[in-house]
Amino acid sequence: MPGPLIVCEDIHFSYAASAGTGPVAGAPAAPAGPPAAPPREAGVLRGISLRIDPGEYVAVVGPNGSGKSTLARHFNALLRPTSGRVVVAGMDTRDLAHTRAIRGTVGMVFQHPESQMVATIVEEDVAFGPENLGVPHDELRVRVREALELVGMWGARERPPHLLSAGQKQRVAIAAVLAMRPACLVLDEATSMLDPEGREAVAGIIAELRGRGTAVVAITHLMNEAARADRIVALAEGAVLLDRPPREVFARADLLRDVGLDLPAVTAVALRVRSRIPAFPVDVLSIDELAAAVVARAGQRA
Amino acid sequence: MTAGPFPGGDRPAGCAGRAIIEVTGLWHTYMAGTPFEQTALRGVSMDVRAGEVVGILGRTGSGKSTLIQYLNGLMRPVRGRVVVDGHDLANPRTDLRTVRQRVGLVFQDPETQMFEPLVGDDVAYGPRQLRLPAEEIRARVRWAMDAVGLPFERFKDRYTFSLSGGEMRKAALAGVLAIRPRVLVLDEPTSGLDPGARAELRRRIQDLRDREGLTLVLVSHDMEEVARLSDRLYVLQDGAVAAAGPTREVFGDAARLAAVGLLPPEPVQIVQRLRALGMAVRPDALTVEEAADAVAALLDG
Repeated sequence: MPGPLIVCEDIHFSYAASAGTGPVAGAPAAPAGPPAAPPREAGVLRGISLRIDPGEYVAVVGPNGSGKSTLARHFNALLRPTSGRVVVAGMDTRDLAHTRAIRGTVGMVFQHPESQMVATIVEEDVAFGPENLGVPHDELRVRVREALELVGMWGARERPPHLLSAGQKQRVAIAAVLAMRPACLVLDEATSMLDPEGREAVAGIIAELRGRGTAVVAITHLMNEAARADRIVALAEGAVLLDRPPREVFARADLLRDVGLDLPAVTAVALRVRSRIPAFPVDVLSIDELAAAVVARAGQRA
Repeated sequence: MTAGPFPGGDRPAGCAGRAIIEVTGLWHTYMAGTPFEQTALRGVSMDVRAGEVVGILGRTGSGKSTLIQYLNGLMRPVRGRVVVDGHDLANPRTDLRTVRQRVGLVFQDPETQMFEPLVGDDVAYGPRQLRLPAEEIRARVRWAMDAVGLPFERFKDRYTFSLSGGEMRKAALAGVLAIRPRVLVLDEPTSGLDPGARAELRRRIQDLRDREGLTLVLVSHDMEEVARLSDRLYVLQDGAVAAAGPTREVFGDAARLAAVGLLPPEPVQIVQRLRALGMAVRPDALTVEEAADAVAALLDG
C-alpha cells in the first residue's frame, strides 16, 4: 500500500486572512441607524486534520457555511491553508511548483457543470484537460474514449454540451476530469442539481471508479448518498465533528441534529421504530437492511 | 388571516375550491422549424384549485419547466388553452402583467437574481415596480418578510450578501410574495440548502398555505418534500401527463411510477418492500413518521 493520497494537518483558513479584502466591490456605504449584525464568516476552517487514502470513497457532509467546499478546494490547491499544511501524494500545496502536478492528481467537479465547460463539442471538451497536460495525440484519443465510455456519454461525443440535460452535462464534466487520469476525484455537490436518475448515474460512475482504484471525495447534502461511502467526515463550524464509517456516524443522531444535519430516511424510520420497540436495530443504511430487521423481528413474534 | 394576500384568503386547506388555473390540451415546441426542433409539451391538461398544493413531478426534460412558464404568463399558448384566474392567455387583450401579479413564480436558485444591497430594498423591488403608495409597499414588504421568517425589523437593513444560503432563499421568496400573488409557483424551492435550512423553509411554505391561504404549485425532485407538502400530483413524461391524482394514490402505484422512471419517497419504498415480503403493514404511509408508525404497529401487534 502506498502512502496516503491527501493529508491535512491542523489546517486553518479564513477568506478574510487569505485575500485581505475590504468591503465587497460595489457595496454602498454602511446604512444609517443601528448596525446590522456582523455577517457570519462562512467557510472558515478551524484546525482540520484528516487523511484520504488511495481508492477510498469519503463523503463530506455539514450544514451550509460549515466549510465543506472550502476544505474541498484545499485538496487540489485551489486554496491554500492560512496555517497548517495539506500534502497531496507527498507534495505540499504551499509549494507553487507542485500546483500543476497536484491538479493532475486531484480533479474537481462542481455543482454547475457549465462553469467548467470550455468547448462546443463534447469530445473536445473532454480532450481539453489532457491536451493542456501535453498528452500525445494517440494517447489523447484513447483517454477521451475511455472517459466518455465510463460515464456513458461516448454516444453523445459529437453533440454540443449546451443541448445536453443537466445530468448529461455533469457526466461530461466528470469525464473531462477523468481524462486527466487523477488519483482522486472530488465532487463538490455535483449531484445537488440532478434528478434522481442523474444521481443514480453518478453513483454508478463512483462505483466504477472505486473498482479501478480511483479515490472519490463527495461533498454532499444528501445523507442517503453519504451512506454509501466508506467513511463520512461531518463538519460543523469549520471543524471535524465526526470522521467514522456511515453506520457509526448515523448512530449519533442527536449530535447530527444539533448541527442541522439529518439521517437517511431509512435510518430515521428505524430510530422512530426503536422508540416504540426498544430492541429494534437502528444501524440500518438501506431498505434491504431495514426490511430484513422487520422480517426477523416479526418472525420472533410469530 | 388579517394580513393575508387578499381579503379573506382562499378557502381553508383540505377543501380546495374552484380552479384558479386551467390548462387544456397545451402543446409547446422549441426551435420549431429548425433541426433542433423539440416538442416539450404534448397536449397537457391540468388544473390548480384555490387553496390546494399541487406537485409536479417528472424527470429532467419531461416538460415541467416549460409548463410552469405558462402558469404565470411568461408565454402565450399557440396550441391549447391556459386560463389563469379567468384570464385566457391566448387572448391578445389579456394583459400578461396582470397574470404575473396573480401567479408569482419563484425560479430555481432565485437568490442569484437578487441585486439590491439591502434585504428590504430587494423585497420591495416588485411592489415598487407596481407604483404602489409608499405605505402600501412598506406594509407588503413587512408582511412578506415576516411570512417567510425574516422578521422585518431585524432583517430589512441587512446586507443581502451577509445572509446565509437559507436566509437568502427566503428573501428571494419574500420578493415574489410582496407582489401578493394568489398562486405561488415554486421550482425546486429547497435544492442546494442544507437539511436544517430545508426543513425550516418547508415549514414556511406550509404556513403560506395554511395561514396565508395561498395556492401553491410545487416542482421538485425531492420526493419526500413533494410527499410532505402536496395534496395532489401531476407526473409528466415526455411532455405529457403520465399520472395524476391525490399524493397517496400516485405514490402508492409503484408500477406506474417506475414506468416513468421515478421512485417514490423512501418511506413509501420501505412500506412497499415490506408488503412485497408478505408483511401486513399499512399500505398508504407517505412520510418517515407514518412509515415508522406502520412498522411499529405491525411489530407491536
